[in-house]
Amino acid sequence: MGGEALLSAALALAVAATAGGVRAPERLTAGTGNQFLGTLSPDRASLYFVSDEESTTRIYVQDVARGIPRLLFEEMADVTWPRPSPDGKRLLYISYRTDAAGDVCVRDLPGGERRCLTDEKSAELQAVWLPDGKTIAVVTRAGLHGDLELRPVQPGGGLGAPLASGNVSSPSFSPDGRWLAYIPVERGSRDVGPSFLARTGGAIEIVRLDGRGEGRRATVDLPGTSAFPGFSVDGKWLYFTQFLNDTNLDGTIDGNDNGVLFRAAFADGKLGPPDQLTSARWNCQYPVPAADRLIATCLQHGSLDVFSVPLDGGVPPEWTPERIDDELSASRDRWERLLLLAHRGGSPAVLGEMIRLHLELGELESATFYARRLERTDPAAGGLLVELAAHRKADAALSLGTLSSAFVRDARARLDRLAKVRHPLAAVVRSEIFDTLGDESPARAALDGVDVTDPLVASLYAERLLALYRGEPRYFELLRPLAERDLDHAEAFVRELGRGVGAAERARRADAWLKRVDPDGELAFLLALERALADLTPETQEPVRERVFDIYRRNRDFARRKALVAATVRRAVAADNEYLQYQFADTWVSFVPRERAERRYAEALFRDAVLERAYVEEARKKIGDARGRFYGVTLQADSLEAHAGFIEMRLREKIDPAKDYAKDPQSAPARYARAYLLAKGLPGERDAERRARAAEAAIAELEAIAARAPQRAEVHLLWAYVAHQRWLLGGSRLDAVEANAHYLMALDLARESPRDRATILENVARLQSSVGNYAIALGFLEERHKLPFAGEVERFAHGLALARARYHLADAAGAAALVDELLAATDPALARFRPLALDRSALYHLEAGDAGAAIERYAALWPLVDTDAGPDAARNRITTQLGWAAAALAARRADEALPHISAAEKLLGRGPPAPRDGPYGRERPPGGAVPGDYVMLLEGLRAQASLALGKLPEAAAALTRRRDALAGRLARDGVDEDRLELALVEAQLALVAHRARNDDEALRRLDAARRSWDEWSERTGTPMDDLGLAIVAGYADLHLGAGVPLARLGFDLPGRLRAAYTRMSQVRNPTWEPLRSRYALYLTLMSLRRE
Amino acid sequence: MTRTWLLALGVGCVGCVRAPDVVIVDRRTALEQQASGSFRGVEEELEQAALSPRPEPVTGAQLEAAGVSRGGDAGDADAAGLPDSLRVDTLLVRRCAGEARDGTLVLTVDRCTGTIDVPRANRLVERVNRNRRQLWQWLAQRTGRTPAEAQAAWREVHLTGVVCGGQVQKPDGAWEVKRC
Repeated sequence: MGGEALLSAALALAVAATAGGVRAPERLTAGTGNQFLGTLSPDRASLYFVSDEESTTRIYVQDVARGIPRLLFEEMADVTWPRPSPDGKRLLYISYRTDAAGDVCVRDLPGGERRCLTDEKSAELQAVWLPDGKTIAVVTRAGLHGDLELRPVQPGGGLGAPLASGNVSSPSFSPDGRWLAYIPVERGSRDVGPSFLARTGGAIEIVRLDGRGEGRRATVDLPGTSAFPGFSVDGKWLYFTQFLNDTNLDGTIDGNDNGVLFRAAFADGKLGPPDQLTSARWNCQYPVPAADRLIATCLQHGSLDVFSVPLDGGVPPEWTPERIDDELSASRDRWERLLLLAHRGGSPAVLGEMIRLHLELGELESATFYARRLERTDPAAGGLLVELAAHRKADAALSLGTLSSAFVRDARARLDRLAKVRHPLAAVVRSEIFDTLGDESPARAALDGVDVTDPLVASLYAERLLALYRGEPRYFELLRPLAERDLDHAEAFVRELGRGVGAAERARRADAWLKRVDPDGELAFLLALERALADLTPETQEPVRERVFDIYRRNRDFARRKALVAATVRRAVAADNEYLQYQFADTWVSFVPRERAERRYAEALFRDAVLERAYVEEARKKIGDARGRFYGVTLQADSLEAHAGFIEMRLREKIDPAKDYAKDPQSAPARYARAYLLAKGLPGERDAERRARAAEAAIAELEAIAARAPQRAEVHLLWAYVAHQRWLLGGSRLDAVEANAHYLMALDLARESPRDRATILENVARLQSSVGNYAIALGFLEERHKLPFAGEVERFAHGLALARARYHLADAAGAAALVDELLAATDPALARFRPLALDRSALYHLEAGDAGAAIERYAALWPLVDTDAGPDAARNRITTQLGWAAAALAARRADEALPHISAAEKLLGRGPPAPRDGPYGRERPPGGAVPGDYVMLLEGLRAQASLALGKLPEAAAALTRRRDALAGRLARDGVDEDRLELALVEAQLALVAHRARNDDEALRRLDAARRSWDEWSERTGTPMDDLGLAIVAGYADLHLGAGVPLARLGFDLPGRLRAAYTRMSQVRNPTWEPLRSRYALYLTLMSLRRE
Repeated sequence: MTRTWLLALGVGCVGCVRAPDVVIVDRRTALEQQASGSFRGVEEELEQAALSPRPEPVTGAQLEAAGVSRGGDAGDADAAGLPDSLRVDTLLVRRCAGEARDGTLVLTVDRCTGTIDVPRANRLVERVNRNRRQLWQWLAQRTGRTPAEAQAAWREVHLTGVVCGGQVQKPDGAWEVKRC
């Protein structure tokens, strides 16, 4: 099964992205954090919203046409609730800069100074402009436990009298200024403020402001609780969020549950019936109506973003009942079907279907609500469904900690009540309760002889059979009567019959059942199909096609043909047989009339089938065939993915595709093709001016497509690619920001397409890597790693990028292992990348502490770089010898290190190495490479090797040269890190002197080390580090071991030891633990000596 | 202990290929800039090979082999509304859950090839396991065998019916995909 659900889900999502059906919210923002509380400027050109991408909440403004967000201002504190003034010249918001409880502030747009209207005596939570465009009203609270009052801000500052009584939240004023709508908040306790303990009233309070009447509480006829009312620009509608169900299963319905947007007609303070605007698949809140659209914040895939919704919602008001029924029959999405049913009246049949869907989705509050409504016309069925929903709710509450004993007691009582009801539903509900209680036998017995004529009963009964009898022959016996007459149940029957077994067994089972069932029934139809499909292999595909097509011809019923195509395509996909997939997708798209809703699904099926064939041909390098397939899709379906494929194939054939798009140059495909070709030319264009013009022209084409169809992932991907290339080829950081914004938008839009995701994840990860955001890059790369690659070079490139991100995030061992995997590849096309991979592998092994492996890699790398004549050859020879020497030292093979040090020194003598700058110079260090750095590095290595070999004079000489060079650089640059480095070299010189039994010199060098370290410590404000502790330990050793008197040290050694010991004991650091023990020993010895 | 301070001073590795900890750029960046090779042409070639303006042209078979549904990330969200047993099949096929050696169902989020709502999937797994335990107990009572025996016998039968492509744990603890 999984495949079935996934295929239909994929199809539903693919169709959702096309025009013509239920209108889904359109995404306006994308980012790695949350984007929320969106609102348009009055001219609708700019979108203001809050984002937490940088940890604090900040207000951004986004050009609606180009989709690039920009930080509006830097507040240096959390800000929220942006609201532009009606004339668009000012922005009010809540700031937490000087008052942690919130102040209302205003800035002139676009970048005016901050002016706050309230102070720390009160806490402001929300604020709105009144219709006059001058007055601001705030939801404010005085004191910790004060009420949430709505008060106007007076012109001279200060707050006016409350505009409504009681606790107020989410206020909205009608455009004529006569009405105020808000959500009343009830205190949870008399003594505790509503900020800490409160519940919303669940309804919308509407208050008349002209003093001609009282307020009223408008309860909408919906399950759940209402929130965030907002008047439309013309004042004729009130938009709001309804939390319909306890979707997070925490026991209450509140703002943490999925929100659904509604609107109700508003006239004279009264609300009309609610009109559902969004499906519950979209968890949307904060509706802010603009003149031409509704702006809302929706939660998708775990993050908040700002979306645009048509003012009249997803179901166009002009749709007739017949059109809605047609959409219902085609829709694969239960939430979409509920949205459609909400526009289909309240007949018992509609209610029954709504209850069934809500029960399936676990939306038990809604199921109860509509079951109670059904009770008005069918008391028995309605009552039983209320019992079923209540039982499921109690079952779900068990995971929240409800006592099992109470659950069992209530369930038994429910069983007793139901035993008295003579209704088929009662038996089904009793079976479920018995099953939940673990009473398997009565659960099964309860189903005996149930009348399953009613579709709702049949559906629940079939669900019970699956739960109780799955995998048993009895399941099929019991389901058979239903499956013979109903296609959905027949599909379940056949699915379970073939579940988990191979083709031969599926064929045997289908044959056996075909002999027993009504030959004209739905079950026989699907069993015959199953029987034919069970023989599918690459060799038998043609006879299988003929047999399936024969079944198709003999069955003219629309539903049967739809089921046949779905089953055939599903099986073809599972068997990786694109031939059969294509044949029946083609047959189906030719059969379904264009005006039917099902046509969109047929087109999507066809598009996927042909695209699959195209990709297979491309993988086989049959470029002409692949081009033909991509072209075929462009004729039947609106697919930019197919256009991209077609253009790529044309380019590989060395044919200019531009003429293929000459007919209709203003069409989206023609614009896309032009942009695509311009983009492809960017990496090879060396002339900066021409490159800039080409990039701008490409973006202009894409902007034109996005203005009419903003939700196309391919457009955003191409846009991002252009900006990315611009960034790589010398552009500004703004190009990287633009690329990032469009990659993230594309990623959100293409969540259901693994091919799109693979490309976008790789691209955006590389972009993030190129700006040094390795943590973000790593997340994207790890996700990308789970998806396949079209070619070995792409896989290799990805592997190196992933390894690098791992290395930068302290996983050098993981990085080394990954590069070693790449090195194991034998593809000749990868041979030229071998030196690069060996170099990286060696470095990562060295960093990971596996010096042996590093030595092996350097040894393998040396012959390759030694004979290389490329522009980087000189540098690479030096770094290889240098790394090799370091690896030998790390492996305690100092004698092996010396020849590599000498070789590196010799190479360095020929000239300084070029800086390493990464692709396109994007990683070039700001100061470039300084030859002296390498000299110092090699002196250090030589000293270390000499020390390890006991060659103390050589070690001292090398260290002295290194010290002098460092001192020179410090005098020149004054960089603190050199001060620390100098302290380290002096300490090492002390060590060498001490080993040479020259303790006077050791003391002098230690003094020099201490001076440098103290200077560094004072300048950087670092009271303690490893080196400082080691230097002091050196003094202690000189005193206690070599007998140097304390008086000769020139400072208070015991005092410094004590202070450091105390600090190490207070601020525990695992790396300091050995030194802490050593310090304890020193202090004890000194204390004993004194005594 | 005359020579013991060697150890203390040994914490610093003077001049070895190792950037200091307190630096303007981070230590690994400094090390990379200092000690790694430069391969400009090749690196740029790889960068451009990896960057693409179009969807990755992989086949459905390649996606299936990687355990990725052609429908992409629809995953758990779209299994909503299906009966528990069918939702479990979806999780098994997407490698978000597996049939464990002990007969229970376990979440394998690290191996999951899509995005799932973990708390929701966890609730489903808990519910399924509760039902399984009840069933094992019932089987044991009916047959007079121990619950462990009933559990083992049940798993043997159950595995034959596990959805094709579903994730199953081998006796050595490794995961494999059921092939039909």
